[in-house]
Amino acid sequence: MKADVLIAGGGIMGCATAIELARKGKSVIIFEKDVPGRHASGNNSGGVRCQGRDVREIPLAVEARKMWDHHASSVNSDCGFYVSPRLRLAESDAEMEVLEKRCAKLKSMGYDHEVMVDKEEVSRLSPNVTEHVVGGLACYTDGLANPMLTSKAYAAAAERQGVTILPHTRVIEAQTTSGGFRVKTSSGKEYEGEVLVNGTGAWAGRFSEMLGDPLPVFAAAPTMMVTDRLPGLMNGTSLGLTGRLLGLMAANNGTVIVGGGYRSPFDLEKEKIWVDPLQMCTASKIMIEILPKLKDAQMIRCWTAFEGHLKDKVPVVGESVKVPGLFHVCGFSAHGFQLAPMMGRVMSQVIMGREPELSLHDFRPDRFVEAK
Amino acid sequence: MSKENSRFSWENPLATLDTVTVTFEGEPFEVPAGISVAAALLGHTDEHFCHSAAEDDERAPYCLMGVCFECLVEIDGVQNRQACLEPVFDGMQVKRQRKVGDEEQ
Amino acid sequence: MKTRYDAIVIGAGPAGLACSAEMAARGLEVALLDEQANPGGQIYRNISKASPKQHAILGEDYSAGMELISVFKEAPVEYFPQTRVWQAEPNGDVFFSRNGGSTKVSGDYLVLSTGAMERPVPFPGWTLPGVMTCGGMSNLFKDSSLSPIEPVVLAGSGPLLWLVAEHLFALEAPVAAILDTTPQTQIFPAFKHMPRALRRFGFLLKGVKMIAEVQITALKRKVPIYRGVKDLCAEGRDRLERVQATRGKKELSFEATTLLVSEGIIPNTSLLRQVGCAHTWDPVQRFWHPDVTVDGRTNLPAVFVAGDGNFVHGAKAAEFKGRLTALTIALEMHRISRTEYLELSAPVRRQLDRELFPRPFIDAMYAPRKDLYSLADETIVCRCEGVTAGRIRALVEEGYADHNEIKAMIRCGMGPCQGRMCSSAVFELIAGHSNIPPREIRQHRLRPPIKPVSLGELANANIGGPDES
Repeated sequence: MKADVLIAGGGIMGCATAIELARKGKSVIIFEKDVPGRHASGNNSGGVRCQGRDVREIPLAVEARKMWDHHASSVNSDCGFYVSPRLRLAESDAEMEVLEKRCAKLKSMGYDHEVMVDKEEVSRLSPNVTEHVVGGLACYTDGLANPMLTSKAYAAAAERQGVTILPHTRVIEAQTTSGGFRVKTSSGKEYEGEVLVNGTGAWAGRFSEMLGDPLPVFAAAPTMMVTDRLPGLMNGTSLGLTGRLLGLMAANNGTVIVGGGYRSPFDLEKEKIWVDPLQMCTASKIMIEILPKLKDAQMIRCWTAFEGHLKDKVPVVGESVKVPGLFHVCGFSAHGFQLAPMMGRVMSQVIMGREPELSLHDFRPDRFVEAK
Repeated sequence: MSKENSRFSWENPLATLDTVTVTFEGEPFEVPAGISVAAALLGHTDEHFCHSAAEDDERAPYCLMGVCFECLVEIDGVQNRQACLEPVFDGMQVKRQRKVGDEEQ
Repeated sequence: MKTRYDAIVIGAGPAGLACSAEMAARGLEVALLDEQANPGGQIYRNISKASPKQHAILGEDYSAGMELISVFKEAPVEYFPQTRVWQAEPNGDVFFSRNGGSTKVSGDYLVLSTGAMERPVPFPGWTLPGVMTCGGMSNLFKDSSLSPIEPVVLAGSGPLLWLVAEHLFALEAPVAAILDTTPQTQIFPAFKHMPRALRRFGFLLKGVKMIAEVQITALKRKVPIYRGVKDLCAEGRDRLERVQATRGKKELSFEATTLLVSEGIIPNTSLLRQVGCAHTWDPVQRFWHPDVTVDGRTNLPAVFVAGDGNFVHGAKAAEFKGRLTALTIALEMHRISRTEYLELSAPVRRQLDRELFPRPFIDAMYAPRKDLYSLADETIVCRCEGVTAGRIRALVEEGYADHNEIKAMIRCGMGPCQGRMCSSAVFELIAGHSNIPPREIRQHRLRPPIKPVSLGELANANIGGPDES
């Protein structure tokens, strides 16, 4: 079987890319080893945030944020998106300085989506926050979405555009040919395409190695937690910290989703992740310090998912230098969810040989080689 | 042994048993020592114990074996106690479960 | 409490008690953790404190636990009641909450004897206060001699329904009706298991006699018994006021303030699945049970499972399974020789075999009926989150054949019970409305904590690690 573009990975990046390519008339086949949304795309913490994001990603994130308002028309689902201002708290004057520096940097780049807030505004946004917080940096337009709904909506939209998604189909061999690429799948079939896209998340390092362009993507398994319903406690404001690990998302059902970089031990081969209770305990301590009323809250559930990481914590997006025709969109280091709609757009542009509407220079695949 | 309005009664001649005083929503009453909080409340009143997590429906014990989480109460200021697993003790203050974040009424 | 034991047993029902006492007798250092305040599990709940009257009502099957308890109390087992285990790991680590804090304890071996629970079957009105399980009523009585003084209806299928009816009659409780939902044709598939079951003729006879006696008492007291009942429904504004059902074309309606339901017993596998025990689907009893050998071994070398949590076989069988498991672990730890093991285990095995003869017959006789999960759209399935059968079915029909995905989308199973009450029904809705064979449907995934833990309890933790304070 043949298609213009073959995509490995049916996560949100692969599907977003496929949707845009199909809209531009390309035929696309997606190989998904499980089902769309099984891993990080469907099981992340659902943060749709510009706040706290690496400044290299800000231009893309700001554009992506606009697209989150239009999912109802672009993918036939609102993806469960709603606005929950994201407030990054400063627990000391030194932390306040860190935030001020970031705010100034963003301003110099021409962005004003994040603004400094004083103690009074902190207690207006989040009345139950503890006394010792001195101020913060707020992004009033950040929000949350339902990752499972989102990744399923993206997959469904891709299929409506004529994209073929093959679930339970793993790419087991991939090689270049005179006309592009030939891949062999776990179902024993072969497929050919002019372009091959690597959207394999935590497995991106291994996949790229198969094609002779190894990327230093490594897997990690963030631990996320969710409490019982605590109506009113967060006042709709999601929180982050400046000097410590913690992200508290104010879900509109009243639960608090806990993220912020806690990680679990795992075995990628066996696809097994162990929840480390120490992380739950550490997170709980900090949560109670920031919001004392959380003492009585219940930890209802923990979950984890495999994510692809890079050591400089920004993704690899663009064409391989070593293997022309191979395009990477991976290594989002546990903060790719918000960027997805925009990634589909720029990936379709570069795959079709056009200049991307925003620079992808910081995300070029060969940046690690240069650094050596 | 005060019994306000319950569809259950204590089967045993209670005079022969040790009793303790438990308070539910501010109202004290005597119950046999050592029984579960769920039994104490069910023997006292037909009122609900808690509200469902999502829709605020009134709920009372369903399984009485630690599985359903429909008997959640506040015991001596600690929320989310499973009444079917907690034994009573003298002077215990039991309240209906309220949600964290809701202002106390 | 020490931080390390030879074996940690979780659950103080017949299996856990027998297992921990037997291991201690063979010289192992044993800790037994249980969430109840007293040993006995559900079947022997409160047995050490029950009154003569309670024993008289509950009968010899309950009192049979006395010996087990006295052996246990003599054994040098470290017993920790009111202890909520929320995580166990294949390496023998166990995490639990107790007295407002969290602790870790480790064992060379883990024995999970978490027992069974009543099969949760949704029906209209099952969330109303006043609707309870038959086992729940039984527990209330064992706990505190509480007995209904207002009209009570019993509805369901299986031995527990009749047992509780018998107790209520003995207590002179105002039983308004007994509604047996067993399809009247179910006896036929059960017949093929009869010859084996007859090897324990006395046991069967006891069951038949119990049901016959309930029928005679019902007749005397003019309590109606209906067979082949369908469309059970609980009605009332804030609590139960009326029970409705149909029998053939007849509509039944009873004023009642208590409805006791029972649709069979299933293994309580939350902890087993969290720790990673492999499970198998039983197509007759329609539940997932762990893959366990007769001596308690699972796919995880340090993790053993004993009792009804392995497969529902009843209290006596659970006790024997507990003892076999204990002997196996004692053998592995070289506390007994191979010869001793064979000598000690042979009689227990024989007793267990005997106990299991009638089970296939009972399992087939009281298999969940075909329409058990033919739920009306508006019936609440997830009690915590108020998710209806209609919403779940709609997603299944859209192609979502995975409780984990359905949960992520509509929160079915995200409340405090963590899916304990809805996962059987969600599974059956998926099985009934997709083309996937049940054994291939992805099970509801359990991750720690398998019981909700307060952040206060987590923050107040003593579980080791670098940032222990």
